[in-house]
Amino acid sequence: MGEALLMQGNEACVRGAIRAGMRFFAGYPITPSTEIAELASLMLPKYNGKFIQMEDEISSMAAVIGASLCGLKAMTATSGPGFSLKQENIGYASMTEIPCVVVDVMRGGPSTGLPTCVSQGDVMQSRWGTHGDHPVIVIAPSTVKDIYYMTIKAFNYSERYRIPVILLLDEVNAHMRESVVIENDVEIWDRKRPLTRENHKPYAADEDGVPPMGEFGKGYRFHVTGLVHDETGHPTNSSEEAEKLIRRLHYKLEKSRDDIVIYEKFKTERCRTLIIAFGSVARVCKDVICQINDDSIGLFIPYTIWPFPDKELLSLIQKNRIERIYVPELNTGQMILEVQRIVFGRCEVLGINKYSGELITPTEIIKCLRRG
Amino acid sequence: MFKKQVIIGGTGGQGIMLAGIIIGEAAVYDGYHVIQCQNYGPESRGGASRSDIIISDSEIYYPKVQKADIFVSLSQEAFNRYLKYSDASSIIIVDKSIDVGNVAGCKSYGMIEYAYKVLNRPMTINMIAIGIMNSLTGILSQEGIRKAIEKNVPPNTFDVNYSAYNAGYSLLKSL
Repeated sequence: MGEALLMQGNEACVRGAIRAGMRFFAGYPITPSTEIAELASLMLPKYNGKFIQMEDEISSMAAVIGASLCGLKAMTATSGPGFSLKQENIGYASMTEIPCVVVDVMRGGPSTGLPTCVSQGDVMQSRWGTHGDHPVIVIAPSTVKDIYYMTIKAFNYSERYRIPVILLLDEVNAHMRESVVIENDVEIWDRKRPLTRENHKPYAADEDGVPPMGEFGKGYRFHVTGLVHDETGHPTNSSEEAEKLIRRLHYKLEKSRDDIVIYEKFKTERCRTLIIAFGSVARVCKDVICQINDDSIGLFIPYTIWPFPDKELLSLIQKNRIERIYVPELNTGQMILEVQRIVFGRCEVLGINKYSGELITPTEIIKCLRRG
Repeated sequence: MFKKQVIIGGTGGQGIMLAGIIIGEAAVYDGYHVIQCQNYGPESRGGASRSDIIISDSEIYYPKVQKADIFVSLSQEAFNRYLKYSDASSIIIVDKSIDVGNVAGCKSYGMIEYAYKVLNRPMTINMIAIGIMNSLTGILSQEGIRKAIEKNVPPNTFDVNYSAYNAGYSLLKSL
């Protein structure tokens, strides 16, 4: 077993990223994500990696895409205002299937909002921030230890499925320091490389819906465009090709959906009331569950909030005959919309919302549970 | 079950965050579960800031201090603002310059004065505060604290920081 360390969430993110093989970081500092850039600038040179502070968030995202096209595992980190700026290029990475990891440390918004305060206001932005009918993976860790391992997962998913992966942290778990023991025994996935450099079609997918990816500078010659493209990578206006491409972009995640979703059931064995919470709020709810010590209330934590573990939630609702669901979140109600969509009237779904820039307390949640 | 909740409050620039990290890290060396959180405004100097440390022998879920067993305050603003997290059973340690009003049982020490006049290093006030706190409560091992200071301050300032800690630990007897 490794030695226990006091580690900050943002630090765990950088250490996890480097463990996953990140060798390029481009960013523009913004509270509460700045420590990620700071530490990446210190650590990457030691691993033969590159750190660039770009002139803004738009170019940071562009640099990350460029580095990934050249074969490096690449990441950027930001917070709400910067996340908005990155959206156009996130869409480009989605369409061109360029693996990358984007960290959004949520703070109070909209606009510059409350820079040093916590929020969970970017749930929908992480899903629908960029335009177009795109698939996405969003992972929201809860503890510092989660952040380390889920950053590795974010890289693994982005490499395997050739997709931008959003790692959604918040001011509390990013700035918090926590004692953690890190095991080095982790699985690292790399992108598939084409078998040949001759006549290879850069967007011809394998059975899993994912095309192998060559890198610039290694003899692969191919065209990359945000326009709808065929298997050769060249733009096309063909409606068949357009439909085929969009279908495949979604198919590659749907096919592997069971391997992607991550969730936790906490004391749900006999529960009839369920709390669904993610990020820092999930750990507050663990405290609630332990405090009330009543096995009729359990907790479901989605770690991949997109795709949401819907099948798993439904099966729990049916198996336990859940009567009521509470969704506490640090916004006016975003994840609750997804929960309501899944539950579809099978039971009551109630929100517990706080948006003052402070973390919700166990007492506040317990008060709502008792009020019924 | 062992659980101690500590708040160190002060003004931006007094090294409140560093004090929290050193206490937290020392507790990790002593084998405890630890969470350290910060609370501050957008300014880097001035304004009340606060470092929360929770030390426990079992897993900690809620990461913020709800009721401080130990409340250390190095500024009037922080004292006024964070006093609500303490109660009659809390150990409250404040700088002599702070007007505690009718709050009973506050332990008052001339930390700022000592850092300025005796050590001639205003920046060591956080170390003095950790020393006083540990002397009065004994929650951390001396070895753990030493190791944590060593890891978190620039090497050429270790001696001055560690002696400030020790001055605090001996409750500023030389003043």
